[in-house]
Amino acid sequence: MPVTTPDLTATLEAAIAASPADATEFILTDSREELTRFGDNAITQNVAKQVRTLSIRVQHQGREARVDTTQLHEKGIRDAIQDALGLAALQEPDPAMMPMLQGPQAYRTQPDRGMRDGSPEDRAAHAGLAVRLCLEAGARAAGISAQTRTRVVILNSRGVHADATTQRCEYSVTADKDDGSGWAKQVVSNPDLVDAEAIAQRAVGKALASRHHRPLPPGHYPVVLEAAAVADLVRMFPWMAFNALDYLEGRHFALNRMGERFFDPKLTIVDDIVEVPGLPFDYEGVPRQRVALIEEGKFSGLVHDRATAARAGVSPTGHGGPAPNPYGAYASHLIVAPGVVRDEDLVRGLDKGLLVTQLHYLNVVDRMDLSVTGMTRSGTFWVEKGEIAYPVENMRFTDSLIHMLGSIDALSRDREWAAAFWEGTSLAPAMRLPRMHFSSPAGF
Amino acid sequence: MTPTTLAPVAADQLVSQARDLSTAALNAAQVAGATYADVRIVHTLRERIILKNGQIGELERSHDVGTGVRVIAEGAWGFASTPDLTPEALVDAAKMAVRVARASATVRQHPVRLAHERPVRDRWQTPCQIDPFRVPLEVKIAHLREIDAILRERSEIVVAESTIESMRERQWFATTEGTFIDQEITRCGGGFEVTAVGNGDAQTRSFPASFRGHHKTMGYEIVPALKLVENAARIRDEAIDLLTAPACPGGRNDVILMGGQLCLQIHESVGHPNELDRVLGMESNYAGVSFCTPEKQGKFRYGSEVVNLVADGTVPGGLATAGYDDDGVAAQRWHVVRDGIHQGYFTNRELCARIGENRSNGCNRAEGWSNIPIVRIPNLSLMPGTWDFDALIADTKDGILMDTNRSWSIDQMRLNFQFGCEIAWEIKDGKRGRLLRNPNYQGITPEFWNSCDAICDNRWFDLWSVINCGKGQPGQTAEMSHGSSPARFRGVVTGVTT
Repeated sequence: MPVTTPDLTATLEAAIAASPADATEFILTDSREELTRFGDNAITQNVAKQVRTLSIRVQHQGREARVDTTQLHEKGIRDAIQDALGLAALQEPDPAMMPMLQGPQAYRTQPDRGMRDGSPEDRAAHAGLAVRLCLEAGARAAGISAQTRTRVVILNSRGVHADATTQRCEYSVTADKDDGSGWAKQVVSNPDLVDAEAIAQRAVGKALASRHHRPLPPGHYPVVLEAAAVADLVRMFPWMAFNALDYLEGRHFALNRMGERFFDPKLTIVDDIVEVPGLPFDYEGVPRQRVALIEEGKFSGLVHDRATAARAGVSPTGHGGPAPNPYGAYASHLIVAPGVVRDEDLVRGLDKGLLVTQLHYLNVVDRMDLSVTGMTRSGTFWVEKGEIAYPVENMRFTDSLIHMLGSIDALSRDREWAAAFWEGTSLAPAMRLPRMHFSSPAGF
Repeated sequence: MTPTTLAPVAADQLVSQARDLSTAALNAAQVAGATYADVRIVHTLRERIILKNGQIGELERSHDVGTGVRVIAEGAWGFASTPDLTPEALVDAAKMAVRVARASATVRQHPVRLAHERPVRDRWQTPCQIDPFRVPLEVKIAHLREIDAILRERSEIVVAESTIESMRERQWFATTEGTFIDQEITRCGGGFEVTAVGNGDAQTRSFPASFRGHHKTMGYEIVPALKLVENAARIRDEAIDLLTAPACPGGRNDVILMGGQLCLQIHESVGHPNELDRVLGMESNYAGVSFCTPEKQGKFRYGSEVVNLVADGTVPGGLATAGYDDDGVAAQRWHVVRDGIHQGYFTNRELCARIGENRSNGCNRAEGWSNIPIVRIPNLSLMPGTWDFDALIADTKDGILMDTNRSWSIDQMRLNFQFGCEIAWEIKDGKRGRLLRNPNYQGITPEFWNSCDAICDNRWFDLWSVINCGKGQPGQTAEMSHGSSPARFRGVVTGVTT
C-alpha cells in the first residue's frame, strides 16, 4: 500500500522559490486509506482511497490567505499561489500578523514501526475470520479492517522542511447475538501485529456474556472502565480543557487555578508521540513537544500553537493546526499513566458495581465544570464480590470529569492503544472508580 | 480599495473531458470483469471566511477534483479513487476497484443486485440568484465586520466569531447502464456566535443556528436574508444575561422546542434510525443500529397523531436537494411518519429490495469523489401543525421554551437521547418569563414523539440546516435540511445534572 505520489519535494521547492509572495508555505498531505467494512456477516464496503491535498499559505505586504488544491502539477500549484495572493490582496494589512516559522527546525526521528503494505485480500481474510467465528457462535458480525498511511510534508520559504509518514492499522469487530452485543478493537502501527482471532473471539465472548441483561435503576455506582472506555472518557479533555486558547479567552474550568489538584493523585496524563505514534511536528512546522497536562492529579499544562504561545509568553508545544487558526491547539495523542493492578484484579476488587466495555457518543454538557454525557455499549455487567454476576442494560451517564476522576481506586498496569469513538488515539489503562453517575436507562 | 471579484476555478474545463474519462474507466472496469460500474468525477470549490474578534481568523478557498470508481464484480462491491484526472489513472483505479470487489466476494452472503433504474441523461443544477463566488470578498468581509462590531460592543464578550461559507460541487456521474448526469449544486450560508464570561461562567449564543450557522442550496441571496446584523445585539445581550440566569429546573416539564433545536432532534431520533443500511446492521460496529426494525414499517406508532415527518429530495433550498443521488436515482418525496405511524426508510438501489421495495427512494450519497456512496439522511421535515406560536405559549401553564442546540448524544439504537440547548425561558401561566441557563432534556425516541401534542403552523416553519453529519468508515460528512415549526412535548425530563 504505497503512498503513490511521486516525490514532489523538488517541485514544491521550485514553486516556493518562484513564488512572488513575501513568504510561502506548503502543507502537502498525501494519504492512502484502505478499508474493508463488514456487516450482517458480509463485506459491505471495500475501498482504496487516495487523497492528496496541497494547502498553500501566502503572506504578502502584511496580509495572508490560504488556498487548498488537489492539482499538484506545476500549473496547478502556480495557479493556487496566484489565487492565494489574490485573496490576500483583498484584505487590510494586519500589523499583528505572525511571520511564518523560521527554519530549520529539528524534529525527533520516529522508530521504524514496520510499515508494510496490506492488501484487499488480507483485509478480506480478517473480515472472513470474524464472520466465521460469529457464525459458529450463532452471532452476527460487523467490523472493519483498515490500514491508513499518511505522509505530511511542510515547506516554507523561511527554511522549514518537515516530512514524516505515519501508519495506522485498525481491526475491530462487533458481534450481536439475541439481546447481547460485544465489541473489541485493536489499533497498531504495524499490520503484522494485528491479532485478528483474539479480537474476534473477545467480541464474540462479550456478546454471549451480555445476553439476557437485566434493568438497573439510575444512580451512582462504583465502576470498572475497560481501557477503551477510559480512552473515550479522557478524549473529552482536549475539547474542554487542554487547549490554551480556551484558557486565554477566559472560558476554562481552571481559570487562574493552574497547578491545583482537581483529580486523584493517581491520574497523570501527558500528550506525546513516542508511545502513541504521530507526526513529530504540527501543521505550523513546530516540533512536537511532550506536554504534561495532568500530573498526579494537578492540572499542570496546556497545548499551544504559535499564536497562543505568543499571547501567553511561552514556547509553542507543537500542537497547532494550519495557521491562521481561530480554534487553537489540540492534544491528539494522550497517554494515561498506568497503575499497578492486573486487569482482572480491577474487577476482583469491586464489591458491587458495574463493568463497562465501551462508551458511546460522548458529548459536552458544560465545559465549565467538565460535565459530559454518553452511553455504555457492547457489554455492561453487574459485578458482585469481584465476579461478574449478570449483564445489565446499557445506561446513559451524565457526570463531571472532576467528579469521576476526582477519586480513582486503581488503574491497571497494562495499557492498550485505544481509539476513541470520535477522534484520536490514546494509550490508556483500565480504571476502577468509586462512583459514576448513571442518569437514565437505555431500555436495551 | 477597488471592489474585487474572484473568478472561480472553472469546472467547465472538465466538461469536455468528463465523458471520455468516464468512458475509459467504465470500459476498463468491464474488461477487468465488472458486471456494473459507475464513475463520479467531482469538482468542488469552497470558500470560508471567519472573522474572530475583529481579525480574519480564516480566509480559505479550496479546489478539489478527483474521481471515484465503483464496481460490482463477482457479486460484490469494490471502490477505488484517484485525484489524477488522466485516462491512465482512471483505468488503474477501475482495475483496483475490480480487485477490491473480488476480495469482497470472498465474504458475502448474497450477490449484490441493484434495483432497476431507467438510464438517464440529464443536466441539473440548484437555483442560484447571486453567484456567491462572484460577490466581492470586500462585501463579505464588510458584512462580517459590521456584525463583529456590534457583538463586541460590551466588555463581557470574549469571543465574537462570524462566518460566511460558499460551496459549489459539479459532478459528472456515468454508469455502464448508460446513465450520464451532469449536476451542479451551490450552497451558501453563514452565522455568528458570541461568548460572554463572568460570574464564574461562560455562555455562548449563536445565530441563526449553532455550528457554523444556517445554510441552503441557493446563492448569496441567503446572506442578507439571514438578518445577521439585525439580530447581533439581541443575541449578544442574551449571552450576557445567561451568565446570571438561574439553572434550568430538573424534573418532568412541558417543553416547547424552537426550530433550531428541533432540527437536530429530527436528525438524530428520526433521521439516523431510518437509514436502511443502519437498520440492517451495516453500521453496527460504528454508529450502531436502529430500534426501528423492518417489521415495524407501516404499523409502528412512532409519534402522536399530529406528527408527520416527510423526506423530500426536491424541496427548494434543502441541503440534500439534488436532481439525482449517487446511484443516479431521481429525487423523491415521501412520508417517513404519517399521522404518527412509521411508513418508510431511506434506501438505495442495493438495499431497497430487502424491505420489499422495487425502487430506491434516492438516498445514496458520497462525500466528494474519494468516498463510496452510502445511505444518507435526506431533507426530512416535521410538517407544520395548526397552532399560532403565541397561542401555544398561552396554552402552556408551566413549561420551558428551549432554543439553539448546544450538545447532543444518542445511543447506538437511537432510543435514549440527551440534548443541551444554548438558551431557555421559563413559561408560567401562559407567559414567557425569565431566562434559564444550561437547559437540557432527555428522552426515549418513541415516547418523546408520542408526547408531541402541538405544532405551530407554516408561518413559523423554516428549513434548518445540518452541515456536519458524520457517518461511515472511512468517515464521510454530508449535509441535509430539516424543516420544522416550534412544537410542544409534554412531560419531558429536563435539567439532567451530574
